[in-house]
Amino acid sequence: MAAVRRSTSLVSQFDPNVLKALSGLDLKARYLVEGFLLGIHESPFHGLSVEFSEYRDYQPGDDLRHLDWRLYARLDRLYVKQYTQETNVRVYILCDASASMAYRGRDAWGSKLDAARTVAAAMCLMMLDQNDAVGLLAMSEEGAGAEFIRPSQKPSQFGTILQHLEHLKPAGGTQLAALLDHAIRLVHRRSIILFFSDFLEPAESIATALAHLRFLGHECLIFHVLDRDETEFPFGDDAVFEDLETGLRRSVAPPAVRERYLRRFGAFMEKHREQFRALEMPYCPIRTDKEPWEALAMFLSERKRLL
Amino acid sequence: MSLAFLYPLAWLGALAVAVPIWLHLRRRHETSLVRFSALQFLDDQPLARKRPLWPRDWPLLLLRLLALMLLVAAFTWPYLRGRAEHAGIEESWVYILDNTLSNQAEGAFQKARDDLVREVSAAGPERQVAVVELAAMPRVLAGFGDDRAEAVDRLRALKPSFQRGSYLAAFRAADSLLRQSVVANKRIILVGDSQENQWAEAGQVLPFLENVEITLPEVAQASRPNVALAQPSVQRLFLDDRTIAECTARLFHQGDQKAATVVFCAGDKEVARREVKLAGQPESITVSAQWETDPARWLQGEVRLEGQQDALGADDRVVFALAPVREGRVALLARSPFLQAALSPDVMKGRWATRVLRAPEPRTLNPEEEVLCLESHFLQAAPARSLVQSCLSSGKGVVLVVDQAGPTVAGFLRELGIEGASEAERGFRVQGSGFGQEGRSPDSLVPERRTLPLRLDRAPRVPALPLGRFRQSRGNRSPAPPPADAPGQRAWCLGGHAAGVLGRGRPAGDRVGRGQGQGVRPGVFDGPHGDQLAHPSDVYPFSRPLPGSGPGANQRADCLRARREHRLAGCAGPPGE
Repeated sequence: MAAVRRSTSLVSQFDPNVLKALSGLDLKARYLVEGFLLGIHESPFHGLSVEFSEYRDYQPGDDLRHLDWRLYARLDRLYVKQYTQETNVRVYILCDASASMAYRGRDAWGSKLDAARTVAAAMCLMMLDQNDAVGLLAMSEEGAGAEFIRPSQKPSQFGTILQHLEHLKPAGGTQLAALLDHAIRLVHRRSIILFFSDFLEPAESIATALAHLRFLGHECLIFHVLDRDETEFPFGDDAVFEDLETGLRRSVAPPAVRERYLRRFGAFMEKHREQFRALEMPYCPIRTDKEPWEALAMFLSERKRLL
Repeated sequence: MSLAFLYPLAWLGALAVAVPIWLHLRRRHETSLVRFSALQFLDDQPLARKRPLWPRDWPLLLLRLLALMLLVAAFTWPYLRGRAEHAGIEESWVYILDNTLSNQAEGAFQKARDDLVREVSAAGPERQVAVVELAAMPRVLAGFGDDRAEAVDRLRALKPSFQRGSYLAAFRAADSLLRQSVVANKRIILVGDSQENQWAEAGQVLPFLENVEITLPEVAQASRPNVALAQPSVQRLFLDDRTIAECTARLFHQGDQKAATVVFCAGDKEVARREVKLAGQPESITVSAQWETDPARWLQGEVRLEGQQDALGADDRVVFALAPVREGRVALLARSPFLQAALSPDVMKGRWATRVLRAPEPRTLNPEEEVLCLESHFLQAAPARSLVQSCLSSGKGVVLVVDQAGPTVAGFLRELGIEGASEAERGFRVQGSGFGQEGRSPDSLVPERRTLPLRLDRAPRVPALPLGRFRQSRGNRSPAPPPADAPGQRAWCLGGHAAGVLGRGRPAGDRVGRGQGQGVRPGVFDGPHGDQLAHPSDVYPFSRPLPGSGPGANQRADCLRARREHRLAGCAGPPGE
């Protein structure tokens, strides 16, 4: 597996303001992909689909382009080069669009949902460039049903997925388990599943569904989208906090509760991480105030490993 | 210089500063609302909403206090007091010096001016003085802040004026001066003869004097009465072979004068004398005189009061002048009997000597004839068009009476540079036309003045395109004079609705048409060809009032003249006459 090495200049190439200014998801995705590809030295795509396999004797009717002329000059025998057959991978993007994904901190370049769909679109673009099939599964509102796009490797698939990603509106409450259930029923062939969520639901609620996916042989890549306000709780003044999903309000003096909050939050997320480790699911945190290169790098390294 | 306040009690409004302070202390600190995603990791902590004991936002509080204080300070009306020597001012006086014509009698103005100089010089430091001079318009001669010595010098340099001004305008100027004064004791003193007619002012005026004392002069009974002449007017009347000059003037009298002698002089000769009784008569009397005159000579003269020793001698004499006139020579090409009658020599005596042409021929105009007057339908014939062309090319005038015009006439006019517009493009069929045609008479009078629907698109070969007053009665279809109350436009058109002067032959020297004069200053008509001669509209058959003559000045004479003309033309008079 070719190692993906990131140059030191990669981080400096990322400008959150540029990402803010880019209006379309298409532009954001291309900005991410091109910026990322500029920063890596070794292309992960080199030789993926033109891998040499073996020689065989020439048979009348074979394409002369595949003759190894050098071997013929040396051995005076006709051999035809054979290559490994190109393999198409099916990739599903699972995007959580609950109301909590609408949160956007003061330092963020976008909401959590913005970050998720931008990174997802960038990955979609990269996959389609490699002739892989990409599909989408998302569910924004409870009871509204899932939005499912069958995997396809047509170039127009990128536009279709972008359109659905852009129309995703954060709404509703707990839905991760339902989303995973839909994935279990809809994804049959062995596939790669890119799971974007903030995982603000108990780990127990999705444990069964994740295990089921692994049992079916799918590779799950977890992209945990979080905001700096959630991980560091940097609030200072007294405020009334309102829950995005339930509308519940609580009066909070942040300095007094920060320590307890961080402890609870860390423990909660640790449960999730343990579960992902147990199921051998690669885990990648995405912060809305930082560059999303890590997510892309992890995805590509996993992609190489799986192939 | 020190700051003072006109309404110091308004400083009580400064108590309002308590309001922003109270607001700042009372305002509860509102906790902000944060929509958060990870509320499940937070415990509820009820926060006490306390009122702050100390203002939190000091800049905002100070800004509000400053705005309030500035508002209150503005209501107290601050002003800068003058230097120490002006600090003791107790009263403000404004003198109005009457420098109008009426105050010039018997040196009243010089006397008032000298009195005022003494009074201004003697005014103490407790009194600030301003002077307003009233001539045609009020003028501030010296303000409150001006130096006394300068004000006295300006007063001494004042020259008598012979204009008429309004006292109320002067009082308004004085009142505006007093409004700048902060002293409570204010006074306006009129120094003049306080004539009653100078107090009158047209239009409604709002009361404007408030808390101001007025001192008016005691109007002394005039020691001598005054009789004045004004508004002279002179005109020529042409009766048979004679030319009569008619001169009128207005005589104003005031006082107990019993009678006056008015003498009319033409040139150096006395032509008439009128003894006018004044006792029991209204203040304004019209005197007139008529005498025979030569229309080819300038008529200059004067009307004067004789043997009067009244208060003001300057208004005892008025002068008049009238330019010479001669008859114009006009060739008339018209089929309409009404037009022929209206423009016949009997009717147009003194203005036009008309010769009626039988048919249009290129050489039918005599050399002395200056104007060709023709009906528009003649232009359908080629000889008439060539006649018009020859007239225009030789500098003679053409009066075209447009009744109806077909494409040929419109095309000919277009060749001359006159483009038909609106009605003209529709064949010059003016509504109500058909004068002189059976069954086409207009339904009603068309007394209003209309604009000829023609426009020029090149050099103004047409100097004037006036439209006269047209009047026609259904019964006898005789041209009728304009109503006696016709304002200003006494001209009236005979035989057509629209007429245009296509060109004109400028008279060689004297004026063509009826002479009409007005009172002028001596010396205006110095030469035989003065500036009122050879006006383009003079070749037009209608006379128009010259600028400056009032609508009613010659009204009666016009009415009489029109009736005479109708009798001469053998036409019936207007309906109801």
